[in-house]
Amino acid sequence: MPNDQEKELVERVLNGDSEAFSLLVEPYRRPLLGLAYRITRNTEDAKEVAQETFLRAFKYLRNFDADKSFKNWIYQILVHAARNFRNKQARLEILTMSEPLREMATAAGENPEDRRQEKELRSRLMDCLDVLSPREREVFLLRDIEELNIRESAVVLKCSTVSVRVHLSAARKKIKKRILDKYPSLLERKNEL
Amino acid sequence: MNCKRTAKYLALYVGDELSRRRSGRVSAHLKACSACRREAGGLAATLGAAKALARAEEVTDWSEREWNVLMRHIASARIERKKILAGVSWKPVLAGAMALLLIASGTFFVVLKKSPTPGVVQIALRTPSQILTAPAQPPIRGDDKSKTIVSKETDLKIIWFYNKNFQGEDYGK
Repeated sequence: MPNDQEKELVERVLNGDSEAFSLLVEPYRRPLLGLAYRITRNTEDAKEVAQETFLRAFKYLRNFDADKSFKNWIYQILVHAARNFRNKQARLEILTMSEPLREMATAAGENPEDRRQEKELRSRLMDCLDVLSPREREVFLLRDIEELNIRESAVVLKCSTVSVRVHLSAARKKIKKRILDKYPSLLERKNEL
Repeated sequence: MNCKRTAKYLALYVGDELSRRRSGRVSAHLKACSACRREAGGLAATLGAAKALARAEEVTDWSEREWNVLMRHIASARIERKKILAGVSWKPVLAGAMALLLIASGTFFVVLKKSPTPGVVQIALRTPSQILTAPAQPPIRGDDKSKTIVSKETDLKIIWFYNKNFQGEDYGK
């Protein structure tokens, strides 16, 4: 969507036309849901994070600088919403799981995260992303999958371009190792996908 | 550029994220080194494979009904007023405030240590209990005498002050 059109829609929403918000965010509906899914690794969590993103974008639309990219702004909100969600989940798991249960789970060679993941139909990409740290995953997804440039990725993640480069380099090396170890056939029939 | 340095930049080279100068150096090395060329090829291929996987991946979307319900729910929310300091990052502000606080407290202690406190010294020289802890000071009156006793075992220094009649007038009280 051209910037001028986005500016006009933002103006309309701020002037009380709430219906215009749907038109404003419609182009980002699938990309945001996809990114949320790859960050959270769970469809339901992804929907929750994306929903929170749209809600925050609407509530704080007055803080959006119309001279900047709406796409970067909404991606920034999503990354922060996903981080908050992840932290909240981690706290909940610690609180709700008693010590004997945790010991049993450890003894059985599984943890709540594994059980949650087993419910998901896991793609090969998701399996590759598992080897990355949270920050590496965010950088890799924004730069290589969402195709934001280094500067845009740094803006979305609120970090320096140097930090993005460092994490991106590490992420690519890990992904390469994972694909070579587990899915070497992908490299042979890459063009068929 | 040698192989070790090239390996460091290769992951960014395949994504065209290096500066022109550095990219040129890596290119020059790759022309001469087949092992690094193979490594770069492998990285580019895996990156392409990951992108292809992402394109082929099915991500569950909201149904139109769910989407409309979500948009209606959002539209019922209230748009917040603009925050005056929305763009201000608080980390540097806090760091600056902490640095100022440290400098101020450091300056305060330095000034406090250097400033003379004559009243305190005079009292210390007059009171027997404080004479033991007071640093060696010259007698206040010209006719006062002093004697210093230093313990060999503990290095404890005791300074006694006498008046002209060798009487410690406050000591007995």
